[in-house]
Amino acid sequence: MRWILDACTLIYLVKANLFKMFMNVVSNPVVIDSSVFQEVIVVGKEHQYPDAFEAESLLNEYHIPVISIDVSNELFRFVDPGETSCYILAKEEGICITSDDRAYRKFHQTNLSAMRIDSFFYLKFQRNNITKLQFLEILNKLESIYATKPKSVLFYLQKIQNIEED
Amino acid sequence: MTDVVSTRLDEKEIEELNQISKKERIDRSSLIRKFLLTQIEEYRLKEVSEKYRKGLASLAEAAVLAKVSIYKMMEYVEREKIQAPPLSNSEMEEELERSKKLFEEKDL
Repeated sequence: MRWILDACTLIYLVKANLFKMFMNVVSNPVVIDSSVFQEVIVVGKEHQYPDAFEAESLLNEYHIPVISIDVSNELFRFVDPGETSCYILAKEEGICITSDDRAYRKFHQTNLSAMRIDSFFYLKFQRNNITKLQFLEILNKLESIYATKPKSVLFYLQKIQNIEED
Repeated sequence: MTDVVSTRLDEKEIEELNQISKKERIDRSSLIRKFLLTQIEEYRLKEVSEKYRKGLASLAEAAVLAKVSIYKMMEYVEREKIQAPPLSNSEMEEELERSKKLFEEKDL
């Protein structure tokens, strides 16, 4: 089993300073593909986005493999090469993690194993891999950069409240 | 391949362009081209972000359609405070249930 990051999720994890936390709690290999690498690192560096340099450094530090994928035959499904390659990789084996609700819906509609980044951290909290405070900080950071929505934050706050009441 | 496009401007507008051109140290023609391209990009971003706002395109798809980087698209939606429609409560419940199952099945 492997985790597959799409481009937005990778950027948001870096932007929110959560990539290291993600890598600390993830228990299976994490991979990205060449289209995501192109979108996040190559294009980002060309335009001098600091997060692109940071992302490259983190990918190197954690030895994240970049898998080469030909997306041309499947590009019609997603428009974006990065999302297409996540689809192809997850179809082979793995779970795609996304911060984008529309991307999640599309992955789900194509019977792909996919998960929203909020749910990933919530389930890690439920399994005591992170504390409640850490989870709340994660939600706060993700919301502050538009990587998650107030409605989703409220949804998980209610889940926590329900757990505590039980 | 390039082509020449002409347009009419008021004297005041031309004077303003001349001043900016001098300040920015680029010729007037290049300045007009720069302004025009910036506005075309802004127009595309505005148009595509409506698709994103309505949930008709993901952020990455929107970036492809607007012919900009994902970073630029992220900056734009953040600046304009544009959010895609959230999942409904029942969709979030279902997604969480499926995710729980994945965690259990794959021993994550």
